[in-house]
Amino acid sequence: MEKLILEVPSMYADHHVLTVRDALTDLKGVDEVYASSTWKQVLISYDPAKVKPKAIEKTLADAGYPVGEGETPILVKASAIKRDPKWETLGVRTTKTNQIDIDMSGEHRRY
Amino acid sequence: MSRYIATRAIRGANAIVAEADGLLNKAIAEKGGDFPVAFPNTAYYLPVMYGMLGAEVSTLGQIEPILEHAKNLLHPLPDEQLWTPYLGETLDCGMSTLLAAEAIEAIRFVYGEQPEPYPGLELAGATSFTSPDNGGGPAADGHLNGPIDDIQLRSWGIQLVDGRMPGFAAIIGAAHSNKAAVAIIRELQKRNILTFLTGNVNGRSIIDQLVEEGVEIGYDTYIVPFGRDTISAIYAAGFATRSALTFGGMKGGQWREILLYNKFRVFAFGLALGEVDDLKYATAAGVLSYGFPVIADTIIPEILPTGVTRYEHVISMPWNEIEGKTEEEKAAKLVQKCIEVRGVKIQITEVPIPVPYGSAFEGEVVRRADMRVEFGGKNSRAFEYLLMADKDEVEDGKIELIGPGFEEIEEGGYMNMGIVVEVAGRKMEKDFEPVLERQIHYFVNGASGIQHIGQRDIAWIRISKTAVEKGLTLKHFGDILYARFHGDFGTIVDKVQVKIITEPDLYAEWLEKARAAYDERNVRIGAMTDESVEEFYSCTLCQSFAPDHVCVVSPQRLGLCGAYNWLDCKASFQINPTGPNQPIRKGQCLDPVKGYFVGVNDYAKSGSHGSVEMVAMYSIMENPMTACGCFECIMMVIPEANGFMIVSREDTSMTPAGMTFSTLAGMAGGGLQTPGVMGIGKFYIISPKFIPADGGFKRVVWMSSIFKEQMAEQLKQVAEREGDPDLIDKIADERICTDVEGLLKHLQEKGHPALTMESLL
Repeated sequence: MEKLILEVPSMYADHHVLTVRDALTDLKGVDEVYASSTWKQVLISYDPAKVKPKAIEKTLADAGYPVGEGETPILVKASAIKRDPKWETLGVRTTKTNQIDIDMSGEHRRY
Repeated sequence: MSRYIATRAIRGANAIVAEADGLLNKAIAEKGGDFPVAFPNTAYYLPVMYGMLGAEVSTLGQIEPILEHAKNLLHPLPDEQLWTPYLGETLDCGMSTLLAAEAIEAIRFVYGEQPEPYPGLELAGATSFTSPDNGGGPAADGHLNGPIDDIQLRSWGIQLVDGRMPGFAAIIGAAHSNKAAVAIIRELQKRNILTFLTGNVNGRSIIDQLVEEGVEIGYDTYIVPFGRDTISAIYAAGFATRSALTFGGMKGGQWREILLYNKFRVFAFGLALGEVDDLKYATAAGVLSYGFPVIADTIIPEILPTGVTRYEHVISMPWNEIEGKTEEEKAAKLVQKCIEVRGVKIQITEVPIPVPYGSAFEGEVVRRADMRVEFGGKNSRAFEYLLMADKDEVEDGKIELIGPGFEEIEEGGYMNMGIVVEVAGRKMEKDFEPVLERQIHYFVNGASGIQHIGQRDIAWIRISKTAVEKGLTLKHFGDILYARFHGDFGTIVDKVQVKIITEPDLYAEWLEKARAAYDERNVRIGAMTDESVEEFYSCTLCQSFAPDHVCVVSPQRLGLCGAYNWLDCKASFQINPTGPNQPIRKGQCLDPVKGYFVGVNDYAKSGSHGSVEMVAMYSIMENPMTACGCFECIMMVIPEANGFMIVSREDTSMTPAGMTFSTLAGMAGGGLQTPGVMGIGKFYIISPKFIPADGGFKRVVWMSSIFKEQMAEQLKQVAEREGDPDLIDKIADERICTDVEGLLKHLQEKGHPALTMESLL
C-alpha cells in the first residue's frame, strides 16, 4: 500500500467530506481514506497495482473537488483602505445600548 | 475575541452563502421560482428565516431575497496585521450561515434528499411527518429524522417547562470512540437533556457510532438524529426559533426578542466532537447569537468573556486531557462542563441500580427478541398499588421480594407480579394515592432496559436481557421507587416501603385489595365535581415559556396539556406551596353556565399580567381560557356546521377549517384569548362540564379519528349521557371528510343534532 496526501481547497465542510469519501471509496484499489475538512486535505492509502494517483485525482475532480485548485469563495473582499465595507452598508451600527436589551437583562429581566 | 475563530467563521460563512446561492440558482433553473418549498408539518415556514426576518417563504423564488440579506451580513476576512474586535462581524456571519444552511436544507427537500436516507435505521418514536406522504424523502428504507415537527415540539413543551427536560444539546461531529459516544449520550440522557445529532468527522458521525453500538435513537429516547453533516444543525436553530414562536407568543421578524428568549429560557448548548472546520465555526457563530455556548473536545481557541451568552462563549476541553480513568468518567466531566457553561440547573435523584437511569429512557421499547421476562400483557398479570399507611406500619427503606424472582423463568417467559408501595407522611392525604401511584409508571420506566405500559391492574412490564446481564433484579424496582418517591415527593412522603409480590397466594390477596381500592377511588373521583370543591388550582408552569398564560384547573376540567388534573395540582401545591399550582378560591359564582367566578377572574387578571380580564370556565365562544402551546388538542368553531371540531396534536391531516393542527396552533397558543378557538386536554371532551354554555358535546361535529379509537368506551358513555347513543357515528373525522362541504353532507346524512341547535354566532 502507498499513501498519498492531496490538497483539496474546496472541501471546507463535512458535507463535502461525505461526497469525497463516497467518490474515493468506490474506486477500486483505494484502501483507506481520511478526508479532513479542517485541513482541506485527503490522505489516501491505495494499491499502486490497481489504481494510479492520476486516476484518484481525476475521480476527485469529477466529483467537483479538483486537487490543488480553487479556494473557499470569499464573497466580501476587504477594500484597499482596509476597512470592512459592510460597516458602511449595514449603516445601523450604534454604540448605544438599546433600551430593550437593558430591560431584558439583569436578574429582574422580563424574559 | 479570537482572531482565529473569527477568520474561520467568516470564511465558512462566505463559502456556505456562495454555495447556497449556487444551489438556489440551479434549483430555480430546473424547477422554477414558483416551485413550492417547505419543511414538513410546521406552521412556521422555514423557521429561522421566518423568525429572524418575518419572511413567509413558500417558494424557491422567495429564498432569493433571503440570500441577498445573508450576503449583506457577510464580512471580509480579518486583516492579518491589524487586529480589531471581531465579535460583531463574526455574529453577523454566523447569522448569514444559518440563513444559507436553511436555504440549502429547503432545496434538499425539493429534491427529495431530506430527510437524509439511512438504510436500515428504525427510529424509536413517532416520526410520521417523515413518511413518504408528507416528508417527501426516501423513507421506506430508513432515514434520519430531519427537522422536528410542530407536533413533537409541543408535546415536549410541558417537559421543557416543568424541568423534566432541562434543555437541549446539539452534538456536531463524532466522538473519540464508539464507547465515548455512548458514554456522552448516556450522561446527557441521565440528565434528561434532549440531544440532537449532526455532522461528521472524516465521514463518520456520532449517529453511526450510536447505531453501531445498538443505542436506540428517536423521539422516544430524546436522541434526534438530524443529519450527518453540519448543515443539518440548522434544524436545532429552527427548533429554538420555534420554541420562542410557539411558547413565547412571538411573531416572525421579532429577531431580537426571539434571540433573547432563547438566551434566557432555552437551555441549550453545542458540543463539537472531533476536528472543527470552517463551517462548524460559522455555525457555532450562528448559535452564539441565540445565547448558546459551544464546547469542543479538541484544542481550539476559546472565547471566554460573557455577553452574548450567559457565561463563556466557546470552551475547549480536549478529550485526552480530561481527567478520568474510563471513557464514562471523561464523558461525565465533559457533560458536566457543558452544563456549567450554559448555567443549566439540574437536580438528579441518584437511583442505586446497575443500569443507566433517567427520563430519557421512559420511551424506550423492549422488543420481544430482546426481552428476558415480562409481567402482564397477554399471558400474565401485573398490578401496582400505592396506599397510605400509618407511620408505625411503614418501615422506611424496607424493600421485600416476596416469592421467587424471575431467575427460574425461561428466557422470554412471563410471570405474575404485584408492586405494592406503602407510604406514610404527615402531609400525605388519601386523595394523593392515585396521584403518586401514577408516578410508578414514570419512575420504573426511567431505568434503561425496563419498559412499563399501563397502570393499576393492567400494568405491563418488560425487562431486557441486557439489563439482566448488568445485574438488574426485581428488588431494584423497590430501589427505584424508594429513591424517586423520596426525591420527588419528599415533602409529603416521609416513609416508603415496597413489596414486590410474586408468591401466588399473597399476590391474589393483594390484587383483591388493590381492586377494591381502585373501585373506591373511581367512585370518589366520579363524585368530585366543580361544585363540590371550594378551590380550583392555577397552573403557571408554562409561564416560563408563555409569560401571559394561566391555566385554571378544576375537578371537571383538567389542564390543557393533559398532564395535570385537579388532584395533581393539589398534590403539587402540598409539595411546593410557592410553586406554579396555587389554590384559587372560586368566590362568588357570577354565571354557573358559562362558568364565571369572581375568584377565577381576579386570578386570571393578575396571573396574566393584565392581558386577560375574564375567563369563562365552560365556554369557548366567550372569554375562553388561554393556551400556552402544550395543548393536547385544539377546538375550533366551524360556523357553517354550527358546531366545533376537535383536532388532536397527533393528527397531521387537513381539517374542515382549512388548516392543519400546526397552523391552528399558531392561533390558539401564546397566551392569546381568541373566541372560537381553544386548546384543551383530551379528557376535557368527556367531562360533563365540556362547554355547557355553548351546547356541550352535541356541538362536536368533527374530531380526529384517533380520539374515536383511543377513547371509544368513554365517548360511548358520553353519547349515552347526552341522550343520543349514536352520536359518535354522527361526528365526522378525517377519514370521512376534510372540508366543510363534505362535513355538511355527512352531518345532514346522519342527522347530527348541531344542525338544529341554536345558532352559535
